Amino acid sequence: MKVKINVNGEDFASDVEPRLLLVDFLRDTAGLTGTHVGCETGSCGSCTVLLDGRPVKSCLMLAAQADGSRIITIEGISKGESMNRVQKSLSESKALQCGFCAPGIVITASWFLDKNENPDEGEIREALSGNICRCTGYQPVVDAVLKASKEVK
Amino acid sequence: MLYPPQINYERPESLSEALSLLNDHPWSLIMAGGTISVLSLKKRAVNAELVVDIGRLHELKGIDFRDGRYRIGSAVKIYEIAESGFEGPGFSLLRQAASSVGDPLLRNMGTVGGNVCLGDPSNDLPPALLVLGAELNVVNHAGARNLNISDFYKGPFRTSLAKNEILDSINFSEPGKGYRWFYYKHYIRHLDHSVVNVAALGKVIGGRIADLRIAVGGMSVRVPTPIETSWAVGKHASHEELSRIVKSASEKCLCTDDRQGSAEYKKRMIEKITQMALLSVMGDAL
Repeated sequence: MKVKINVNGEDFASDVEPRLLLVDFLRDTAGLTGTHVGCETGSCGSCTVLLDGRPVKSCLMLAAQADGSRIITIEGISKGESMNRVQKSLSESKALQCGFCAPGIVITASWFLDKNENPDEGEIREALSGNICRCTGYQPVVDAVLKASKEVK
Repeated sequence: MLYPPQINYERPESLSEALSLLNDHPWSLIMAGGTISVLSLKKRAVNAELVVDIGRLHELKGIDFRDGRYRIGSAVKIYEIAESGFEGPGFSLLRQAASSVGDPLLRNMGTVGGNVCLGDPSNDLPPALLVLGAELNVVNHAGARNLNISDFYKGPFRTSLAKNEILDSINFSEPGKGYRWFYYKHYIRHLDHSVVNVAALGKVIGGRIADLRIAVGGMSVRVPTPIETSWAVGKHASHEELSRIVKSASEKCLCTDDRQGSAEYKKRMIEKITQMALLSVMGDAL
């Protein structure tokens, strides 16, 4: 079936199998491999992307379901080679270890900070509760997002 | 790699088109958000001749409040309930239940109808809708029917929804002033099936119970279950009444020893959380 999805401002149209997952459309059809495939069951959040402005788990969605929508992946979360405040803060604080969960965490945290000016630690933990990190124990990540929230957008 | 099997997929433009598709293909899988259906396809837990995507049908969208009554379309996303500004104890109870679903990302994907129609005993909305006395508007190609949600659940993952039917909307009245509400979900690990979740709504006037509704969900009861409390109405809100209700809730426990814990543990959790619910709803009257 024919599917057209706008990814990071660019339209990608393709004739796909209905069973194609959104995450594989992004990785294989659009060639954007920053979105990771982790648990494949909707638990880990490595595959998080923004769908029409809200973070979703792209391994639990068919590309067909996203037909006609606008997706932002980790490649499109900031302009060019620059980093947004969440990326900067995670990087400067060395908050991540292996980094596999990073794309999902950056997407979710950036969306959350855009709509919450002064979050506390509990709110950040709740916001990130769909993104699993098996390295850090979360404290450095939460600290970095808290630090990012205090910086100008 | 977990991948769905080859599927036939249709995204009808209207509800009536969706209903005639279902009528022609009785072994279809209805998909709205995809969180349950895509996962079930991946795990080969369902075998569908056709996947009918109803997630975008405008007939199934929107939260309306008219003449003291809410209409919630079945394709409304869980986050829309969680972020909706309606006040009043009834909607606040539903909002708390909606905010307890999965995680923020899953709430952006999953729909109210999916949460209700899956029949998963651990889902958050069913106990809340049971105490709200919600009416389900169900449609097929030939017409519509209304049924109370208390007649909907037949067993774990089993509902009275026929193969050619779609849940159109959920309707309930706002109970209004003076009511207090409670919702709590107890789980072992995040995203696991809950051990027990309890929803309660009640009103106490002059020390007497004017209305009291409780429903229990979770793996310990297998099916979202209302607790009979009508005998307590009119009685003084006392610790004695409270223990009788707690006892009748724990009798609903179909607990067995499993990886969630021992039968005794689960029974205790039902008792404890029902007690928390009653203390919260009866409030200062006790």
